[in-house]
Amino acid sequence: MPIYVCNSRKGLLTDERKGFIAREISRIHSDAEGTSEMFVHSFFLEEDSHFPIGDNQAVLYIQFSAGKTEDQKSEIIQRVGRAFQKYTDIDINDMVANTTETPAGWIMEGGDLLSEKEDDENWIVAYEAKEKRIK
Amino acid sequence: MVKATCFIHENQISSEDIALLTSELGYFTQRAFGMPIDITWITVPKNSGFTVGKLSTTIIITVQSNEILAQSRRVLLLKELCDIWVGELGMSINEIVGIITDPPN
Repeated sequence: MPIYVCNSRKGLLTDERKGFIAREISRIHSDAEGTSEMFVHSFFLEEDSHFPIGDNQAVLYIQFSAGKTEDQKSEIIQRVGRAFQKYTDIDINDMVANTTETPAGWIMEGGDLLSEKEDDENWIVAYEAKEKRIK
Repeated sequence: MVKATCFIHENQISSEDIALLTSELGYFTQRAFGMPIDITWITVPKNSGFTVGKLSTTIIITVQSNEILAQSRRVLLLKELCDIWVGELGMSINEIVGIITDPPN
């Protein structure tokens, strides 16, 4: 967590630009919350019927772990919107963002329950150690 | 039916393995919630899924419980849910994000 899903019109994003935006999303999320980037997932879909675009060029669905302030969420959405503008020709008015929140205790990542605090250093150290063991 | 959504990546899982997973996940929801599963598979196109800004093989499975769960039970079910992927497909546990939600209000 978090999970960012962008559903856009076909051809709006090249693979290279998806990579640029995914890196920006990770950085923006980490900056806004002072948390690790390691849990940030970004998926890019094209005209996927599960995430209706309507009359827009793109729709962004963000699933946060619960506990974000409205200011944090607003800052993230605005900065991610600017990232899309930077790497596409999209007009920000042609893009819509929806957010949901899921309690951290409902999420398991890497075999462990997600910490209530995404910046929980003990959790991150344990996760990284396990990743090294597996590799 | 217990609703579930799963993000997978294009060419990551064969159609035979999707059928196997659907079956195993169905057994899981039957054991856990006494109901069959209604799973929506969402395929992320090639080169379109990222974790920490790098191309990713992470799958995300969300199951919506049909009852409010005690946290201790939820944790056991989450472990069982994530282990299905490791056991059936040999995936790394670090590639699995499992979510079990309570029913909507």
